Amino acid sequence: MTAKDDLLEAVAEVLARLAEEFAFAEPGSDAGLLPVNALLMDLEQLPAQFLPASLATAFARPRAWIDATLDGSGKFDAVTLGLLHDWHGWVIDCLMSESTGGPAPSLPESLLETSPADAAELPADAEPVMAEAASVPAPVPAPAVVSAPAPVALVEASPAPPAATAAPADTNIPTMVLKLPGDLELLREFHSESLELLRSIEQAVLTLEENPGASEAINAIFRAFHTFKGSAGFLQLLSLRDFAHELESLLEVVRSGEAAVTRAVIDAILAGADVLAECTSQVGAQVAGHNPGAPIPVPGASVLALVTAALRGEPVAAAPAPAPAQAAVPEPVSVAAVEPGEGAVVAAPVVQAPLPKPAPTTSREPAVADSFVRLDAAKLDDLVNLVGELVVAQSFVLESGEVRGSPNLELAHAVRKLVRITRGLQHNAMSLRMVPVGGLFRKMTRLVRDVAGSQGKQVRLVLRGEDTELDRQLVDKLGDPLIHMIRNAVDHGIEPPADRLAAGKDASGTIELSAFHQHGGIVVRIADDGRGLDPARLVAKAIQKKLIDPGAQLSEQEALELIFVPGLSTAEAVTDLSGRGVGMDVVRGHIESLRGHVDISSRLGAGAAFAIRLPLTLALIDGLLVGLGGQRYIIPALAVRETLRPRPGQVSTVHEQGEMLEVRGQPLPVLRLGRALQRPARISKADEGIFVVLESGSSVVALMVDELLGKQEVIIKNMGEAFSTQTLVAGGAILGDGSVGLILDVDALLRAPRTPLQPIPGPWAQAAAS
Amino acid sequence: MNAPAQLRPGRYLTFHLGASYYGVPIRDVREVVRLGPVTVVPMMPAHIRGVINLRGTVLPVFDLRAKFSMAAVEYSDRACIVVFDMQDRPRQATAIGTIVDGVDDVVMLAESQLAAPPDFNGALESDYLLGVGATAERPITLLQIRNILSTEGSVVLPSFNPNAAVRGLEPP
Repeated sequence: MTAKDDLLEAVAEVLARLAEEFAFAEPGSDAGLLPVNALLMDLEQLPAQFLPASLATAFARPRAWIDATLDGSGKFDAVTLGLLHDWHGWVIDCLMSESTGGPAPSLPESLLETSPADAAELPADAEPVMAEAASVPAPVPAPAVVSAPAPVALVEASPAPPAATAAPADTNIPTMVLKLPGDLELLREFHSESLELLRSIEQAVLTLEENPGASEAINAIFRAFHTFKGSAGFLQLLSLRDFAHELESLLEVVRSGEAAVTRAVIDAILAGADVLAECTSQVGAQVAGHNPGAPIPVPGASVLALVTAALRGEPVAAAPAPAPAQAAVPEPVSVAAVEPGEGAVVAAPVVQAPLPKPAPTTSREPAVADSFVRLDAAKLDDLVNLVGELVVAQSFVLESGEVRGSPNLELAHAVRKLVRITRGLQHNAMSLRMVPVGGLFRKMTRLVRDVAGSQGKQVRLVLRGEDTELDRQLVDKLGDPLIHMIRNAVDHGIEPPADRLAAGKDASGTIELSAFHQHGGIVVRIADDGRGLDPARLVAKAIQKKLIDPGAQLSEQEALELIFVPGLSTAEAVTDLSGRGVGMDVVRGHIESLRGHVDISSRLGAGAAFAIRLPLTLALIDGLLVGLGGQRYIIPALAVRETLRPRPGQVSTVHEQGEMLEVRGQPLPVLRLGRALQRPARISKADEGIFVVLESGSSVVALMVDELLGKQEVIIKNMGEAFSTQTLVAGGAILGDGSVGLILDVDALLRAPRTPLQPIPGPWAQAAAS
Repeated sequence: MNAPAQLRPGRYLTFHLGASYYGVPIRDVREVVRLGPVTVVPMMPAHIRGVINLRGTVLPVFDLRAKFSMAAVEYSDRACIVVFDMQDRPRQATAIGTIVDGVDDVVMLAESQLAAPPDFNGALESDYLLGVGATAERPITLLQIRNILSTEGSVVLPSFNPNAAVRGLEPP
């Protein structure tokens, strides 16, 4: 994925969150104002040089409206909201045209007129779009956020003139200004925290110099940069944040194992830490009262250039530690070159042990080894659960009207601090339970060798992304399905050597087991280069087993999905089939019980791949709370693309296809939650409902609910065996008032029939009376 | 299905549905809570009412009237949820709450107050019964509640007259 794709994805995410906020915003209320403000700032601070010009200017547009609102009544008014809505729709259109390559949409009329709010000045036109300022992704100063006399929190002093032509290099150094005395306490904390971080970076670098394979040390450095970024962002030290972010993303390459830890890389890390240290010490000085308010330069560009250069250097060959063992590891050069673009794979193309493992005799990194603590897993789970409860309890407090509506600035300050600490605590607690999948993956090596050996096949197992971390509970439960699928891949996927040679393939087959992050979740992928699945034979088998109608017209993908149908995939049913059949329905059930999802892809003769998508943790989810007929349901926010109130006419009924909601020219099938659940809804007219656009894999549906009630982080509680037949409900969660809300299973909803099959029954009590 | 429980002297919790009186061994009962709002789980059979929050855990709630195919009533404020342990080992126990019209008492039943259920020729239904007991007030039907709750669908209790069954037992 290119930087630009990343960026556009980030933009899309912010826009989706804005849509959520707008759905709650009402004239005369301040609900959502601060989140909207923060999200808009996020957009403005994206590195403009990577953005299409149309978007970069678009992002700055609402600034004046929001500032006017913040400086004025502090509440949304109808005009501003209208403008924001139009703007939001337009930006989304811009984004669409950007990704499809179509023409940029023209500005809607409403936005052309000068609104009362932006009579003063529209910063959009004045915004300096830094054209090719540097080849290195230097942090771009956000547009000077100045609106009249009101002192803006932190002004990014941007030296770049509107017509940024040939500015001398040194004036391009971004700076930051501390907000003293307002943030004094926070800055003091930031200072001491940063010193800690710098120490840990130093420590880790020392470890790394002795043993370049110490992934723990790389992770520590990565985490430190990450924490730096978070704290700096929180304090609006944007140049610093951007710098730390760039360091972090560059190091991601090292962490994922794509590049080796060379002397140059270590030097670059140290140089980056030096910049951070310099900034930190200046922050410390200002906090202590020296020269407060002076802009602090963040001279990051040269360091980033250094890092980039270091990473570009011949990665493996330049590795300092000689690694004789590596010779045995097949070098997947061709694979490493694969850009994980559309449908392709991975962020971390590395074969087993990207870095030379410390030989048994090598000194183990003492600093790291000494600091491990053995710990009862149950205690750890208790801690994580308690922290989960804390996060939920906190959200009750934050969402309470009294806290939200309080004009008390001190309270707001204290709340922000509390939020920050809780987040840190949560992050920490969660990370305690995260373990790398490498251990599980390596168990498969043995399995592959044994199974292949017993069948006279030659199979090589390639592991990638072993450092990817996953909730321990998930790792434990992933074992069985994984064994199953790997065994199948060897059993049925990989051909005997003679067949492979006859097919023009290498005599030994390859199974690739990889793990990587995607869309806030994790993907574990098992791909082989065997014979692949034969859709025609699957269909024939399904017809023979009377699982499908003989006349059924299935697409190739649907035919492949047959492998998950219970009854087809029993061992004796498919031993002669090209597929892997042993209980794939069981595997899918297992994965879905982990709130995951299995996708299949295959090319006949070339191999098959299964992608298991999992949430990062089983403990907590971000939920969207919706109401239906007086009951509340929780939709996992990961699956929500946007929410919207339809305009009249936006919903239409298509003959024999049911209702469709048109969103930006794309008709989406409507699923009424009331019908799916066979529960009475309060709102029956589609125009009056609220639509939650759900997305999973390639399916999209517009789910109609009565109302949106809020967002909440919830702890998923298992509901017990009694509800194992209820596939639409993934679990329960305790809500703020102590009642239980049901968490909907999005994948099951997407599979639910969309046309009403039967009349909606009355409330349960009546059904029971019969 | 659990191993057949023994009819043993000891303490029993008694409750009623309409005019039918039942008892369950107290060791199967985890607690009794007041019937509050229950979150209805859609598309479940009538006897599975929904879930409640029991001190932070999500507890399934069954409707015993529906389970026994009795007519639904408007529950009064005497109605309770009896929480049953479904397994012997408490650490892994899964619990199920069951709505009843009202909980009456905890009674001590001695050997002399207990009788095995009438012989139904080994019919499956007898798995649902422990026996009958004679309390001071009335005869009660003693239930094998775990077997009842772990059976899918509704349960038909064998029809017999507890009054006749306790004849010969001495009331306390």
